[in-house]
Amino acid sequence: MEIAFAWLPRLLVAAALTIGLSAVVFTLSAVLGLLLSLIHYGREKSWLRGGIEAFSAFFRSVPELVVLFLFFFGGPQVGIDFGPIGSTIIAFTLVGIAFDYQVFKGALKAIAFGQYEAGLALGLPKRIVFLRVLVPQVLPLARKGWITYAIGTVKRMSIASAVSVSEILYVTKQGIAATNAPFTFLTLAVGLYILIVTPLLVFNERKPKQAMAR
Amino acid sequence: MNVLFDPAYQQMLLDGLVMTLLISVIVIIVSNVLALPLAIYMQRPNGVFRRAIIGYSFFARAAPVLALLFALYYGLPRLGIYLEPVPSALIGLIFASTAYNLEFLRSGFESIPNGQFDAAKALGLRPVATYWKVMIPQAYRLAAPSLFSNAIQMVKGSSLASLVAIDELTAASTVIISETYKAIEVLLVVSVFYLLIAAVILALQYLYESRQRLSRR
Repeated sequence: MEIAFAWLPRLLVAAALTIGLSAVVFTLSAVLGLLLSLIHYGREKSWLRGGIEAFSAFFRSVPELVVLFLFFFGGPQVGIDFGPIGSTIIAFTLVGIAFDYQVFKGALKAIAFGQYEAGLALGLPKRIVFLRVLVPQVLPLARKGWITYAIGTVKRMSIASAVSVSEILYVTKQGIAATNAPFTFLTLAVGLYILIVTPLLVFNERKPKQAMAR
Repeated sequence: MNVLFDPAYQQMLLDGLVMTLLISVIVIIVSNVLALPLAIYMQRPNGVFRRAIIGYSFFARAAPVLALLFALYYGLPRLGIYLEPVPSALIGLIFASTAYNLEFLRSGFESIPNGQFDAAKALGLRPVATYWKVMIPQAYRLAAPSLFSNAIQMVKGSSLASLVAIDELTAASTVIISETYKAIEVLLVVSVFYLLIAAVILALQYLYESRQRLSRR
């Protein structure tokens, strides 16, 4: 137990890093995923849509670890050193965009296309129709899938330990190596993950306050 | 591009691919086989093991897969249990993915109106037949998209086994990269392998869903 107390400050710093990285990745992938889902809205077939779909299929099928290595080891090969943190943010954001894009695209389909046309017919600029009509409806519709993915983001951050980002699992691994007490450290680590994830889970299970306006 | 034409490296990647396929297939099959009885059991309103299953499912979904793999890899020897890396990783991956499949099937069962169960009973169908002929086919139809996308997640999850000493596809790529520094070429080839596996799973899903659609007509 004394070992655990001695390592607790380091683990807490690691937890802060996990939360920080997850927040950055979560925000970037939500914003960019939403933007991608609005591109060529309403058009069934377009080359741009095809490209986005291919991008999304790639980053949803390839393991996060491989994407991470692609930037971490591949960057220096073309003369760009992203570093562990940089590679982590880029890799996980790209994967996050690929998933969030699908979630938002699905939610967008649940909104009648007529709303967009009606907005334009009223003379509203496209930007306003998107921001004031579509986005406020998409976010609650997408919430479940979107937050579920965000919870996964926190857990997936543990993969960054493979490129020596000192998040929770990396410090845990160091602790195990230094003290040979795997269960103490892994219990602490999993406890920290549960502490971070539980508020999100509770938020996600809660019913929306008001019924959706149709 | 030389690195990709070196037979030794080609062999390493192929061996890694075989290991990835082996792990993925075992994890997908076993986790689906285990999830079904658990999901059916959860349909009882007051089973003795309900809490245990709920607790397991929460824990398995809240803990990162990599932490589970580390627990088995570093932890079991401390308890005097010495497993080979492959079975140890398989246990971790199956432990995690069974919980997800269980939840998908459970919500599949819960979306079936209660009246169907009563109607089957009224028609004289025994519980086993009711499940086999009425409930399970519908639960699978509802859960199929999630189960198939979870199967892709399991293939991706198998790459984490590279971090606990298993020579699968991702591990093979890191060995080759450390010898040749040709990260981009090697990782793109590896990505294509993973894409192909995902494409096969998507094709199976398409096949399953189109058969479902035909049988409904």
